[in-house]
Amino acid sequence: MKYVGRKLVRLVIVVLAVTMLTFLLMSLLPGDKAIAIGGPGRSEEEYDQIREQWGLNDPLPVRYLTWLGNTLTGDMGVSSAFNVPVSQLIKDRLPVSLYLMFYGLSLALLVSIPLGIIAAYQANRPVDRVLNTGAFGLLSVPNFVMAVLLTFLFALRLQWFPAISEYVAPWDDPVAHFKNLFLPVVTIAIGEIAVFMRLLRSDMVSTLQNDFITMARAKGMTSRHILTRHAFRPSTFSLITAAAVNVGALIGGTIVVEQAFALPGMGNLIVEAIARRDFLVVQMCVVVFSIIFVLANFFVDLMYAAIDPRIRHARALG
Amino acid sequence: MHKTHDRARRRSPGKLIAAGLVGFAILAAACGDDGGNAQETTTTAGSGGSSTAVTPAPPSTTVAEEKPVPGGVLKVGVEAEVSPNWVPGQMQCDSACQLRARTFFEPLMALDTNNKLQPYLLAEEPTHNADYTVWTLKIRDGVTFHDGTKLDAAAAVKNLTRNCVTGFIGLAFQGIKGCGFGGKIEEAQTGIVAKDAMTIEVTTKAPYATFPFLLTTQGAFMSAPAWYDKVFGGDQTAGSSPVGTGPFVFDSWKPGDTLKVKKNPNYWRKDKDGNALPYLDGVEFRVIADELTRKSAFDAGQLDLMPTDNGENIKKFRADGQSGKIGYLEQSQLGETFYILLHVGQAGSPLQDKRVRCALLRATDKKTLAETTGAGVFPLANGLFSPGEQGYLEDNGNPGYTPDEAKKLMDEYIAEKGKPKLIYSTVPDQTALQAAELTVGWWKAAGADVTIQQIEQSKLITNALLGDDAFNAFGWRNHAGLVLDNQYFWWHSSSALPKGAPALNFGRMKDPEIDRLLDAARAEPDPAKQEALAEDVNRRLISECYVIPTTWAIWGIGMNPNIKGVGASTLPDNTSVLRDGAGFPGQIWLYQVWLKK
Repeated sequence: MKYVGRKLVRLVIVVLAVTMLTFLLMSLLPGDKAIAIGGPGRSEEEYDQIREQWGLNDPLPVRYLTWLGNTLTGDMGVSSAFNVPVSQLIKDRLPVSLYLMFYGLSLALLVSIPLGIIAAYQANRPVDRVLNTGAFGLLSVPNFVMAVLLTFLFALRLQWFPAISEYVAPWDDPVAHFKNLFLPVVTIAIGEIAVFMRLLRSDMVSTLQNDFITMARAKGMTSRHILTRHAFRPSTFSLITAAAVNVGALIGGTIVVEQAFALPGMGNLIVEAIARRDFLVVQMCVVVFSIIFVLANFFVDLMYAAIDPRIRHARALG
Repeated sequence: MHKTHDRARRRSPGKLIAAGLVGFAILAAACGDDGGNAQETTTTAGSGGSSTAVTPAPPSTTVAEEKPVPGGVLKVGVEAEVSPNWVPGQMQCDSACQLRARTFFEPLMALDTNNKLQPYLLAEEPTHNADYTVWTLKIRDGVTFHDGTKLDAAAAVKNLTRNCVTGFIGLAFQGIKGCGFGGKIEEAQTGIVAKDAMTIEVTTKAPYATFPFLLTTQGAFMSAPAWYDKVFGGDQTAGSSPVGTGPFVFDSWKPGDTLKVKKNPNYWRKDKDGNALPYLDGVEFRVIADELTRKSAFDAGQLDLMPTDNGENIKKFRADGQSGKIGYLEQSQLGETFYILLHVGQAGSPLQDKRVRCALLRATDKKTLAETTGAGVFPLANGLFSPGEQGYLEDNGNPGYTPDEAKKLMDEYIAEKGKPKLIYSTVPDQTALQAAELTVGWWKAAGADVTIQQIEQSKLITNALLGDDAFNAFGWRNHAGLVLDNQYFWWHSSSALPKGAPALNFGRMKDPEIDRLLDAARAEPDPAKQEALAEDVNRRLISECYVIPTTWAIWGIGMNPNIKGVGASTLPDNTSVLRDGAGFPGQIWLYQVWLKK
């Protein structure tokens, strides 16, 4: 618990640092914020009013603290591009991106783990070569191209899935929920599958050369038992680390995939907000993405301890 | 509406362009929107044929042949989101916005398919005094807002006075006493007054014979007074839930995603057979910026209807319309012009020299540009007056692509003043960049020293608006309209404010002759004389090489063959048909659209 507590404190510090940096970067952007908020073509009095209303005349630290205080109390301000509360935009969009990332990561792991194990078990044999070649193939296809291919095949030709997706909450209609998210999730997962499979294969090939595996074989254990019970767990460290780090890539992926499938998520929102110089929304999107990334890595840290008793014990010993 | 060259765009950036440059479409709205821009159309919805002919739009035959069936929800895909809200005086409204806004808002007047002005929320045509400086408007009785309040003179005055001093919309109203950009609402109230419960009197600053065209625009949309009070009373989020008089009631809006409107059960209009309007139970608009994605959604049957100005998509729609696979309607007249806007008013700029401007005009190979960036769909433009517009000329003196002459003119200038240095600004969009590279290549060949500057779209707009030194030339789209007065504030010197002040006359062109012609046309009641004045403006813009026209825009509207009644929505008297593309090609009226089950 002490370990978790320490990690949580660090997490808060990182998130605060991210918000501070984001705020600073946004304030460094060129151009008059009052014009960005109010749009061109207003009188100077109106711009003054906007500066006053949005606290643009205050020093940067004051603005940051005001924004932080308001955000923590749930008041994220109003979008200058759409005149709706930023909290409403985030509330509508965040679930879409979270589901997309969660399903994408889950699908990538679900597919890559068995393939990685098979490839390692069949190392340097035809199956391994086919899987490796396939992985390189998948890695070389950008997700916007994959989106077009999948749409063409599954939406336009076979008509199994919609060409553009809409968000349906799983409790409203589970079938529609998965049907709408299927193609975006596959698009986002495909690149990850290749990375994860290659990593797991490589780690597992070295694990399979360890003495304890030879011992297990000598005891007459089946290959399946050895692979899943003995070799898999110690081979997952790189995979888990990569999965956490790749949350960043997933976030980037959602931006592209949401555009390609017209999915109303955070990725779409941030693109729209940037184009319209909607500073508050951009800022909040960056903060939300950062929190997702930091949280993912926090859980990975916790998982290390759960997976490897040596880490637990070392931490327990101080 | 106006935007940079992006005709064949297939990506979201292009879409963003639409959304962004629309920032100024507010102006376009002001510009006279229905003033006449409604395009000539032919519709073949569900009839299995397709036509791109530029003939007057016939009412959809489907209505005459089949009895409309009420019910159903229409799904429409549009290319851009409105910003910042749905307040008529504030919304930056392009075609995609107009299509949606005209489901819950209605104007005081509208155009029919013969381009004739007809009363809409007015009870009768406006009347005027002898010198066209005082106009009397009678409000139609029996119209209620969605919140149940009655539309009367007080409500109309509140809307008009607020809009006439708000943002760029105010510029469109600058001919009215007390109105204009940055005006005061108290002063505006002296120019727009209620004479009795249902009568308004509008006093103009000078004779204003074309004033009724203004009543077809966004500035004359009527919204509920209580809602307007809320919006302008400091409720920053009220503008996202509009309250108008239209056939559909606002249901929900998720910016950048969907707008849902549902049937107005108390709508004041009925069709010619006495059936309640509208026929549809609702409309769901989906914003899909990316052209390719939107077309895929249409092909997959997820959208019932999709307007597009993308050359590739128009080509495909034409073919599918011919084969009867889809219904197709094309708006190819009274539309916008793609052109290269030149900052001619910049002190010390080589563009102040007519020889340089004319060299650039002659050096621009618009045919290649049209084929490369517009899939060869868009007709080549000789001026800023598209076919059907007042002032359109088959020959306005445009010399066309004459590179040898261009070089001669440029050499003459270079011998005298040295090589002209210019910046061609473009948004970071692939098609726009392609157009920029082609153009700059030709200009360089003529002898100019030109660099391309890629800048983010809103910055580009701001540069143009404020007359930044970095703004010399860029691809633009604008000037749909019916009458010359629709373009008044784009070209009149009163809109060419000094550098640093926002000017809608982006090129900051100050030409006394054009001013004279524009003022004369505004005061001129005779359409034939207006036409002659507009033709003179057309010739003058080209002879002085103030702009470099490239192509005229076309909008195609693809629809599911079961969509009926497109192009058949009538005016309140049910005898004449409303013109689609009312100032904003790509817009259609949905009053009498229905779904065949």
